[in-house]
Amino acid sequence: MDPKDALREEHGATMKMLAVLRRLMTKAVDLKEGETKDLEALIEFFDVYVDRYHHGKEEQVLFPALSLTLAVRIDSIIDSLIKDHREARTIMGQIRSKAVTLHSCSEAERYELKERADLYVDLVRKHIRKENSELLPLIEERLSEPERLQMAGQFQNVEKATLGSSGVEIFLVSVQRLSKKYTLQ
Amino acid sequence: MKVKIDYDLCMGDRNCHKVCPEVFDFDEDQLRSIVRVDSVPAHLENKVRKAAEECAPGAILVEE
Ligand code: SF4
Repeated sequence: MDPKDALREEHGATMKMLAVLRRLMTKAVDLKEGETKDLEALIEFFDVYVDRYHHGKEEQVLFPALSLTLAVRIDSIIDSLIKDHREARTIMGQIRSKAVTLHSCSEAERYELKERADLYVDLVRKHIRKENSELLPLIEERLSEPERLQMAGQFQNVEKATLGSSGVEIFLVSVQRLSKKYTLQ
Repeated sequence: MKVKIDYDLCMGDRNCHKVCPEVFDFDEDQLRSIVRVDSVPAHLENKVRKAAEECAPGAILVEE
């Protein structure tokens, strides 16, 4: 698949899971057992699919390739996107550590979890819109067809290294299940 | 036909605007799409259905 289309699809799946996280967190104070498991599945999705796999493709393959085109504007875009990735990683770490001890969390700590999750959702939504507007068009603008073809192969290597033989399928099933449960009418 | 955009889901890739610019506009400040019409003219209905099918996060809601 063309690198731009692959990243665009991953952004779509991520937007769906952000909507699920926001909806689930409206009940943060009183999560039932099944909902706690769904929160764990969401954290797994954001940790592995979004951060290791999707951000891995961008940070290890796409950003270095675009950087080689030596445009000043590109470097400043990439710097701001990497800053977003780091911030999102930090916030997700805080969400993960709260979720692990959820059963013994006070009401105040559960509100704190919700506040962290809302921050994460707002940050990543804004980040994805920025990437779709400023970054993805650069793939066609700056990289030749052979370069894009080579990038598609490198993306597959990142997939193998980060997701192993199970691939993306397990996460896409999770997106479908949780969207249906929490966000679709 | 009526069409709406779920602004929480819209990821701002402008695909709907490319598919049917007569119905979908782009808000450059919010970086997301908006609908320009109250109801979809009959001759554009198929294009709007195509835009909804192609919208990766499923942000386009069509009421037939
Ligand atoms: S195709 Fe969907 S996600 Fe993309 S800009 Fe249009 S409404 Fe938003």
